[in-house]
Amino acid sequence: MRDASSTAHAAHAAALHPGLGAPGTVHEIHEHHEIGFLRKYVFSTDHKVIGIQFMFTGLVFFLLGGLMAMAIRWQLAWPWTEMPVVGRVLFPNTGRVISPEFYTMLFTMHGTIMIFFVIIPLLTGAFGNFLIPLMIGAPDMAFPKLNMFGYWAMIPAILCVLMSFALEGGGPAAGWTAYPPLSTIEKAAPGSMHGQTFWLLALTFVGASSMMGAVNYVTTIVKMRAPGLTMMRLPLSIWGLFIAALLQLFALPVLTAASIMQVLDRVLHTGFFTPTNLLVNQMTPESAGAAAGGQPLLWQHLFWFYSHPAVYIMVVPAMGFASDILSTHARKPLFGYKPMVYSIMAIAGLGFIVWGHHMFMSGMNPALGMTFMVSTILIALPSCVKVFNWLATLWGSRIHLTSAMLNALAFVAMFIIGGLSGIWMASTPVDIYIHDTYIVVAHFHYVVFAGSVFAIFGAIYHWFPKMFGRQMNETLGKIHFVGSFIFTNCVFYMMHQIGIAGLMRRTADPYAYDVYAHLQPLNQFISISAFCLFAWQIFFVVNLFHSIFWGKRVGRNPWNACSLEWEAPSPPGHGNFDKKLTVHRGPYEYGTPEVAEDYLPQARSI
Amino acid sequence: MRILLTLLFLALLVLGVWTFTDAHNHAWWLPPNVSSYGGDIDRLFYLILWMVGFFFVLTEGLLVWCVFNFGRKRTTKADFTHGHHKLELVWTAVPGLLLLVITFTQMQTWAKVKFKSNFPDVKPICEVWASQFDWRMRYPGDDGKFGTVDDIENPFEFVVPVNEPILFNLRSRDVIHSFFVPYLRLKQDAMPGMVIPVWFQVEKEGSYDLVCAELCGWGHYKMAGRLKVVSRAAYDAWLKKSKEEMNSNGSEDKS
Amino acid sequence: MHYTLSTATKTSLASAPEVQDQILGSLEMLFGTPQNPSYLRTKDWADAEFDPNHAELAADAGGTGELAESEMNGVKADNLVRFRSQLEQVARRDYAGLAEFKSAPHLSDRVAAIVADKELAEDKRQADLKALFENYYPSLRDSTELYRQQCLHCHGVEGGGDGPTAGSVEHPFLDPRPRDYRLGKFKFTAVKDKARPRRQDLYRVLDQGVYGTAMPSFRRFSAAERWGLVDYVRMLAIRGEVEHDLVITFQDDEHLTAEAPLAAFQDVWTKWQAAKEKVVVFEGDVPAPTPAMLKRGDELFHDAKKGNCASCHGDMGLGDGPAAYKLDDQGHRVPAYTDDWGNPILPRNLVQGLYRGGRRPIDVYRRIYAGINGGPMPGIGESKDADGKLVLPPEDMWALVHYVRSLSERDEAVAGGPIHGMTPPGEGGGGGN
Repeated sequence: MRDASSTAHAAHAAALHPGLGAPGTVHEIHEHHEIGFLRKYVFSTDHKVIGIQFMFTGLVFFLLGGLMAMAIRWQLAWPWTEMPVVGRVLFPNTGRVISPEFYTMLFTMHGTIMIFFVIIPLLTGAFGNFLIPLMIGAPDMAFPKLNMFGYWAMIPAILCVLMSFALEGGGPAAGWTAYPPLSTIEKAAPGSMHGQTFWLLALTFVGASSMMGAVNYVTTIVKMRAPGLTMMRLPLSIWGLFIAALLQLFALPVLTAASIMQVLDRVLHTGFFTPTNLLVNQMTPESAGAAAGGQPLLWQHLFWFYSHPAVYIMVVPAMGFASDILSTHARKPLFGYKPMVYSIMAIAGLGFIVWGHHMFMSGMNPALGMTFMVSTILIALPSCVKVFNWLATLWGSRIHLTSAMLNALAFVAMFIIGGLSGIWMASTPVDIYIHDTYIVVAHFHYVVFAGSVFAIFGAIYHWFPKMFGRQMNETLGKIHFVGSFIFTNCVFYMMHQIGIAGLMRRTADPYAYDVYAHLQPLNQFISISAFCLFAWQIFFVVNLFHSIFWGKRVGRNPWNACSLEWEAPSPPGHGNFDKKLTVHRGPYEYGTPEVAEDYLPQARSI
Repeated sequence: MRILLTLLFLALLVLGVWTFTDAHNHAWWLPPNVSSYGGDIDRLFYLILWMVGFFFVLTEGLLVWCVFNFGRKRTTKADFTHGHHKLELVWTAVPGLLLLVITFTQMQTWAKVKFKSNFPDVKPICEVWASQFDWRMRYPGDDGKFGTVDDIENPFEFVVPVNEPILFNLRSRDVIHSFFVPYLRLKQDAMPGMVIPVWFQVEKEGSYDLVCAELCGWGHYKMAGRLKVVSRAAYDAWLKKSKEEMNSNGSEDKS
Repeated sequence: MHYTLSTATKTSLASAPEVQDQILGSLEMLFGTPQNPSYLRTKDWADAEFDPNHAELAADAGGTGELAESEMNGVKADNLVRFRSQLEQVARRDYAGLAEFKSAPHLSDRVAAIVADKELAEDKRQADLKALFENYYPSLRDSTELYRQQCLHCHGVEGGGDGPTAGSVEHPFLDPRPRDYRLGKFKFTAVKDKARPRRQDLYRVLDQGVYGTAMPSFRRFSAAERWGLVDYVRMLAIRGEVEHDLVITFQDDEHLTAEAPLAAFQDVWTKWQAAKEKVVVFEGDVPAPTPAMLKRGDELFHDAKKGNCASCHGDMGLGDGPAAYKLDDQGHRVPAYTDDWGNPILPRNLVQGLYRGGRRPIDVYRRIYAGINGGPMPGIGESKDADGKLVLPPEDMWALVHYVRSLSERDEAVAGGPIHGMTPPGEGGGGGN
């Protein structure tokens, strides 16, 4: 865009978005050509820079969360064994062995970091920011400054969550679900001192960040689409992000309120969640000045009212990315666009009335459990529709086995497993047995790791040319994919088996029980696979950084894709587009007989 | 490359089918069931297994075929279609129906295990107290009441008679715990501040691991217990012996 | 890895690092290292064929020389369960993978030796293996492994009660703190006169747990394993006491002779052996509580010249008596007493009905009779008044015991009873359909 005149830009932008402020406002944005390094790359209001900031933050935390997973796997495979290399530094007092409270902290923080600092920021933060304006033909977000604050609200969250490690008693150790009274009574867990309070604050900041993002995404998608781009011509990525943003808008306030209530319980000794008559570590909460008289189930209701929709926040955008990647690289229109959109809506809508399935065993009225079972089983239907539509998209297509495509195919293959195993959990009687066992662990890792993370990998391979103007190395990409796919399944598929054998979650050393003793060899296999999976990511890291600087340069549309982002230069400059866009059709016109090529972009008029 | 990747996806399908046929041999499978309602739960488990197994093989098989067949390099364009209403109706309606079947077959068993109206008409045999980090079973003494001085408290071991419906009250002294006996297919959270009645009936004598299935703090893994199922006579004898031990004068400590 | 000296030792011998080394060296000679702990076997023991290391004797059907016959029977019964699969293997003469006991390296070695011994006739091999498993009793080396897995993170490598889970000195986490074995003081025993605990007392703690504290019941381990842990804990306690005595000796004499460690060790060992004679037993049947007894107990509880319990435990038994607290410099109400380990301590809230040393009448009787070793609770079972008469004759002792136990019935809400206004699920509403 540097070669285009700024006035032309302003006029174009104003023409595109008559609804948003006077042309002068838009013009003003484009006057800032000589902005400093700090404004350009650090405190940037440019959605692309913010997206990339979110991406790298997310990837760094992915590494941290992964390291924690490795420590967890070490303990599960060889409990109370000296840890090689790091044991000497981390555990000098226990003979280089993980201590049980450290293990508790590890899985708490692993879950927290992976959910709130990796998956959600990568999906909605990184790709939401980067893709939304580009895919709807807008020069930037509706509220660029708010967008910047959205990223910077992550910083206090990061500080809080990192600080909670260093505090007295260590990090929070009440699980990522933070069930009271374990989380509200300081004496209940060593990490439940200040660590837990900071953890709650971190959650609140993450919530604020997501909220700012969500407001922005919804406004941008509703108000700033290019002319001709009706809602039913949006790519599914945008639909996914749009629905996820709506989910966040409606569900986050509940979590924020709940975590503030828990902070109050902890700091001001209010009595929302702590019942009367407890005796923990020789102390009753009342004797410490707590009001008590609360109800732990209240937290579970509030928490899952957010966190169940959060599961869909973590997968709905990934479904969108996978749909786009599948269609593009299979050179075939997406099968059943409208059912796909409606099923996303159905998943989101039903997602609000299924939270009780996390609480079947909680002591909640069993009749309520039956209601939640019905709604939960219902939610399998839209997922089922999506899977069949993806498969139908592939049928009769011309699959190009690029790295992006492989990851998207893996997403479908493994999302099927994650989806199907969910049906056991939805069924209340079967859930009596499998609740809180490793089947649950296998299930949500299949959805969130094997599903969302593979979709994220696919999305990175797919949109990398747009981000950096270069392509990622395909050979390295394929090596990375093959290894990751194999080891992912070795790790998480086998977790179903130990779950069916009845092994419960969050256990530091299950082998002293007769019923679990024979599971150790299988756990060792899982752990070795997990170490390989972790090590294998080196191919991705090398590929990423190598490609940023030395990757093959590509033009605007390396994949011959149809949607709007490929009309912009790679990488797009400030303001994104250097020409006027009018949308004439849907985003998936691959293999159309109307033109000689096998694709017909949305913005081309014929 | 295409063949290799096809095999890769095929491997996932094979892995899925293989584990479900071979896992029994490694005991990576449901432990034997010993309770009266565990069989119902297992049957539902298998019902769902067959249903999802069918869809697993169908969908993964289609995916493998697509990669194999449509991954070929061709010069022609792909089929140009945006959807097919009837087809979509079929793959919405058929799974929908199956899901309905699943839903309705579950309800009876759930009600049987958890609804109070279906509880056996017996007095609670004991109170099971969960606390950080042990199980303590409090049997009533001769007065038949809980919370009196003649209660018998037994740590770790939950002794019950075989082939009789057992009702007990689950309670927690501090945080949330969960009473889980894998062999019984029974799980129930112990919620502080609540008295939760639970029932079961065991059909085979033996010792069965009782574990805590809800994170209860750093010692969660330590929170072991054992369900000891004995004959009625042995149970009565045990109860009698425990009552006698309550009134010990300490002479057994003199060596 | 090596055992280290306690912080107290290091502080008092800060100016004499060579003595620290000397003590550390002697202790290692006497007790070994965490990987391979064992008592230095004295000549007396060798003569008496007594071996507290249980390294070899366990294979003999006679057991360890320290267990009573009934106890040894319990060990054998548990071994049959614990080594079920191994014994089946032995019966099939299938010795593959038999010698893999991660938490019992010594046992693994012995099994491996028998399996590998080519000279042995096959029948003898089978019989030896069978006997080894059936009569298994862990050596200290086996027990150190289990201790490391199950106990160390609270009680610490040397048994100082300073493992990571216990929290730091500045910020203790577990309350009460895990026991520091090194003073040789254990609170909940059946003995009087602040004697060392008998092995059976420690075993009972592992069996029953200390209810109301972070010490759970360890019945999940077999009797042999629990006895092994008891032996290991005793070893750590004796080691700690010897260390403590050596510091005192050095401070008194300003030097340590070469014989001092062994002398101290034998001295402490004798004290541990003497505990057997100190068991508190009530001769006769425990009387059942009657209303009159409870009334009498009530009086004794509050009578400053008799039980004088209320002064600490409070009028209502809530553990809030006037003597339990004092005012600190800032005028805050703080615990008046500290225990022998230096931790502030409050009297038990008797209404909660949580009895750490056991809830049988005889357990409460022993607490009142002999007090609690290491804490401020005095024993008054043998106290005499000016006339030489027992302050609490047996009938009064039992009146007090039954009164104290009845306190837990008093207020169900405080003792953890049902909370008013809260219905269990399924009782009301839709659960009944």
